[in-house]
Amino acid sequence: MSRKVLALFVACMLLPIWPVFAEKPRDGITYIFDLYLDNGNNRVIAPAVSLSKKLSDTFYLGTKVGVDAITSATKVSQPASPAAGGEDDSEGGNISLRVPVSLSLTYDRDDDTLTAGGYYSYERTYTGRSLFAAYTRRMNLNNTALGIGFSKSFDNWIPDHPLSTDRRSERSMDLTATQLLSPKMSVQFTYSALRSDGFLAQPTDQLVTPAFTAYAQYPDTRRGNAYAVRLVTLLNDPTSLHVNYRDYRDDWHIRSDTVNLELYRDISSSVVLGGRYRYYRQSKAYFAKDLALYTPGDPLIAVDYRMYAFQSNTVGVMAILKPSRSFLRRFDADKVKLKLSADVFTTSRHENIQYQYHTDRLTGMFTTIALEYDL
Amino acid sequence: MNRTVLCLGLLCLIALTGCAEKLIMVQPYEMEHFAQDKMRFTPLDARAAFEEHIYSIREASAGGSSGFQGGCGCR
Repeated sequence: MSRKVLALFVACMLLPIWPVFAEKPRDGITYIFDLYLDNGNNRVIAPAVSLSKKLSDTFYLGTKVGVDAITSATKVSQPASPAAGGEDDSEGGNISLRVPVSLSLTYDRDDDTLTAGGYYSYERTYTGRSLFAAYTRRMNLNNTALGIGFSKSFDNWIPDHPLSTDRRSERSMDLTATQLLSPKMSVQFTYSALRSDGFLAQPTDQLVTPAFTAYAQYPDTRRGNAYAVRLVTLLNDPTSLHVNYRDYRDDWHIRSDTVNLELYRDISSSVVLGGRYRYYRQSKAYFAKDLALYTPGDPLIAVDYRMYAFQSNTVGVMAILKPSRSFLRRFDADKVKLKLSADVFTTSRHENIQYQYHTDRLTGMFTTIALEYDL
Repeated sequence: MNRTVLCLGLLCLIALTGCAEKLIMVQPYEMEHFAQDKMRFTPLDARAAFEEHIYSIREASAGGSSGFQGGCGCR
């Protein structure tokens, strides 16, 4: 097996450890254009550039810089009667900018890879700061890879009204075990421990009734655990199947199941097409109840539909294109890939979605265009 | 949680000891399929990162992908 194939395989095993930042130790640049739209009048346009630069035989520098143009990420609520259809908010009217930047350093030698880095983002109502680190060890002739990752954030709200605390902190630990089962099948197990504290609700979520008005308030700590398994198998030479399942549960009594199926097929030597289906369902938080049942004395109030039981379905299509040599005369065609995806999701009907977004269910679309170029 | 950590610890122990030979199920010369995009766990890296962010905004669950997501006021 060539060194390049081995490197690619190793990268495949490493990628799930840091799919966002230190995606794989390589010399390369990726231009990304993300778009999100939904019928709640939310829009995100997010161009970004991701660069991974080889500094020496063992060290790589990674950085990702982007700009997210967001409408409705922060809602401005105005009192209204629920009987009249919920909040009369002005979401969608203003554009706010979020500028996320990350920087990481990767040490990669023989069977060991260590990445550490930091993240900073700023938007009008929120400042995000995080540190993260991940270590992966490959063994058994690259049949097995074990990984561990940590992250810790030190975020702050910049609210327009007093909060119990302006701080929000999140910690996570991920343990990953990847194993090849056959020349055509691999499996990966992941366990994530998630801990949050600080102000965990949305400062702008407001319950407005004829009797009283109150801002959303959640418990100030949250402990969650996620268990996931991923299986990738080659059904036949041009076709692969991906099956993912995740079980999540936390001490707010939210429990969820996520199933994701993806099918990829080589159409030609330069085109791979895919399709996906994802199903998600969750139970409600213990403090979530019918909006009409809240009283001014309730210490915890949930307005956001995400604290209630609902389901969602997602379907999508994907394409990976490798331009031909004749098409890219001035570039090495082997170094260029264009990856495209478009997904549509829809939630089940829920009265809180009606209250927040003036529609009985949320339906949205997100697309990604990524142009990868190896330096 | 403790049970899961214990299972993962046992798996590490197996992988790091003599039992590890049983985990060599694929010889190096048989790994060519895993070099293909469609055989990676996340064939579209940028989409994986973006959709994880979208779902963290639209759903109350997180984790399980071992991907790091920075803080965001959308959540």
